[in-house]
Amino acid sequence: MNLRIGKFGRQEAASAVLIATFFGSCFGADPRALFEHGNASYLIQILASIQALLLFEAVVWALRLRGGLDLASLIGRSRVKAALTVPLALALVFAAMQPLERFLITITRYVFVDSKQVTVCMYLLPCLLLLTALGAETLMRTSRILLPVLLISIVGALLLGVGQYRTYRIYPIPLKEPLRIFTASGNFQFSTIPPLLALLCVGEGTQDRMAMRSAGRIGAIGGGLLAAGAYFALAQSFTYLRLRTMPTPFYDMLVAVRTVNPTLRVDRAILFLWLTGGILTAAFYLYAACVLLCKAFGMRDIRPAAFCVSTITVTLMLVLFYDSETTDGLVRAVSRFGWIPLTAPFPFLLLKKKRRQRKCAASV
Amino acid sequence: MMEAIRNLFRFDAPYARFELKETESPGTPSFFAHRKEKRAKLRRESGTIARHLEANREWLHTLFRGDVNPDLILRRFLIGGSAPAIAASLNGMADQKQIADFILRPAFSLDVAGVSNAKIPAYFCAHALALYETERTESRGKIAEAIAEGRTAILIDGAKEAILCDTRGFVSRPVGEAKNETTILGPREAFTENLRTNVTLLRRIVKRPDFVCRFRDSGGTNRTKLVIAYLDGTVNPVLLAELEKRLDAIATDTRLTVGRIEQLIEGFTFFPMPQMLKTERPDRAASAILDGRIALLCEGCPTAGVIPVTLGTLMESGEDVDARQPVGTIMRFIRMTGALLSAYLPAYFLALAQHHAGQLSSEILETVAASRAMVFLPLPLEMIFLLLVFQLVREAGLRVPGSIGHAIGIIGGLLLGQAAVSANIVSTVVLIIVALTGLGNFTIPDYSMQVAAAYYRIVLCVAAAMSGLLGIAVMGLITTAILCTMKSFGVPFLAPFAPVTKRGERLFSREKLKNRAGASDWSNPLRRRA
Repeated sequence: MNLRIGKFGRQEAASAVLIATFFGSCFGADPRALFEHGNASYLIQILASIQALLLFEAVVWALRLRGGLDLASLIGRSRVKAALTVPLALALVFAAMQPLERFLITITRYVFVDSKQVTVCMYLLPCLLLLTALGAETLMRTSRILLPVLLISIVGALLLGVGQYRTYRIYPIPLKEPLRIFTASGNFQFSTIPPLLALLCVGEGTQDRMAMRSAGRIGAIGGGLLAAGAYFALAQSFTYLRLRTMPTPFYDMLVAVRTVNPTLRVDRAILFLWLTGGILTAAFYLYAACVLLCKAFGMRDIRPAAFCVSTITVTLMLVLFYDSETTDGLVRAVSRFGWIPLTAPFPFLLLKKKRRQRKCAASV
Repeated sequence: MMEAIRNLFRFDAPYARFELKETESPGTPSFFAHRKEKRAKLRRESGTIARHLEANREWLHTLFRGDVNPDLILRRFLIGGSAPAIAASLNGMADQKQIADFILRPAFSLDVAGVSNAKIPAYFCAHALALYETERTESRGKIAEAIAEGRTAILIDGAKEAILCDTRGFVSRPVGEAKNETTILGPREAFTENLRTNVTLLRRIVKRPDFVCRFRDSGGTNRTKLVIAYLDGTVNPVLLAELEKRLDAIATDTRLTVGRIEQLIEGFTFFPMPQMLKTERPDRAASAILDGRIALLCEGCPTAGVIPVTLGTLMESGEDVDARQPVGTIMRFIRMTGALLSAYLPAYFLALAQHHAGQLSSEILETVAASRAMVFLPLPLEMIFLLLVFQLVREAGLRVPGSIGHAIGIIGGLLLGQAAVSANIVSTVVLIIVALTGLGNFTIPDYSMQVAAAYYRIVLCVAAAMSGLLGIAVMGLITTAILCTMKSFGVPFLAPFAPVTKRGERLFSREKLKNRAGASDWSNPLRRRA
């Protein structure tokens, strides 16, 4: 048994990043924060994707300098550096929780009204556990297989709602306050960075650094554009005042289609199809967190880490759910400022790299 | 208790039950006994024949249990009237006419004056034996094996070599029409139980000098003949070496068929999906060989196993390519839709009717409710019960020969269905769903895939009954992940879709037939298609 990274190609990696970017952005973000000042989610999404991509390019550049293929090779293996991976792994776990929690809310609020969250979680846990334990190769291939189906369902869902789009609902566009949009896009990093970070964690499985870079680019740009398109469609479907109060705006959009056109009763089928995308996204992040931890602490088997991380994620989700009053602040804080631990190690590593280069140059 | 009462009132003597005790087996029972026996057997079979004819005759008589086995024929004769010899063969396996005409008759008339007995085998082969395939050997093991497979061994007094002549002449079934993989447009020949005939059938299609049919034995004591057929210079040598390695590891005493070999050499034993394409059609096996894959033929088995296999190849039918591209695309699309329906339709209906009734229109709901008004079984049980009944009818139809099998299908389908609806055991809507599912299942070309889909849909139904669309989504994701993990001889099961290869192929449609050289690239052959 090993870390089960395996080998995967550009298309598979790009598919995983695309799915994770879309579902992380559309189902990971908190609508209350996103639509706080107006209906500019699609702009925020594009800006956040660009920022995440720039960060990714910087890390790939650092990897090129160091000659490594993945984030673990950049971080190294000393104790301090190992400790550095813990917040990263934790951030990935939180990022994995975000879409799953959103789906959990939707399922328990709209589909299985009488059931408890723990019951639904018991269905998600084995799936998460299996996908995380099967490794990167399986995750990437599954993403590649499911991508066309998910794309059809997303585009189909957006097209079904065309009849109820109204352009006036886009207003107000908070363009007068660009700083606010920029800040919001910074907060949105918690949805756009994790897919690229996860790809960097499993970079060893790609053919080479160039393949990883192009997969990251294709996935981030494709997923970002798709998510921006979805948010644009959403912005035309509801006013921002209504969107702020919706726990799951995308599902509400599907329900609205069904209300207008009763023959198109596909909202639940699409919801559960999207749930597979959400599970895949979460499994991708969790696996990346496991690989980070295993490499940092010298473990050679992914299964114990996969078991622990999956169980912890689901348990945390349930804890946050049942004790929402006290943990609500924590959730909001993580989703708003979680990008700081995600991005913090990179400038540090880059600076260190630069300093080492200077030292090498001086010694030569 | 009952037995005691029965014995009390019986008039005849009580039946002494036969019991095979451990002490009744020959030798002292011990943990390593079977190893000792194996070693002793190896010693017996290895080694060379004796110079004395009587010693060799005695050895063959003992080896083939001549005292209780009348099939062994040890025909004594004199070569050239002076050199005593024995022709050893098995009655029924060897052609007696060939032995008489091409071995005995020339032996009587051969002049061996001045030739020492030690040199007679070579002289006899060169001057008298009018048979095409002969071989000289000293090995006892080889002689025993040759006799067992229908050849004749000629043992000569004073000679250290025996002559093995190919006189196989057992009865075998002529080449017939494929019964399980029927097509309308393509060829109709099917493999037989005769290995030589099967190789010939392949060679008639693959007329290339680099087409190799490598004969080899399986492991174990029975040593079944196998043929590995491939295109040398095209097939991936690593794949070939891996197959050889796995075949070398076979050490079973059971009768081998392609299906059993598949189980002994496959990598993922717990998955219901087949990891070898089993076909009875030489044209299908030949197409796979030309595409850079390997066909495995087994003596006594009218089926060829093709490796490696992917989901795409399992869903292919010969007619796809024989029909024109638009027609082939429609056929393939219908087949794929049928397969998807067969797997997901009952579970989807069950999930909607049981957990998400709001997703069905009021008209459909009313119809379902009206048809289920008097049915006492709960919907999930009714669905699973009907699916199992369908499997029952299908199995019964398959096992019963000829037209009776078809009749059972009709009786099962019409009478049983009608009676079940009348008796309020099942509802008409569920009956229609199961019938559609069954039809969809029959569009899957591979039998093993059909069976896998049949049982997968029952698992899906259980998941749907438990948690509706959530269960289907979770099961579907787990299944897709498992399929993505699965490999057939190192080739990913979902190739060339995941992982994508350079020259991607299509699953739901058929590409236009073009002039192309080389093989599909997903098995990494040496000579790939451009």
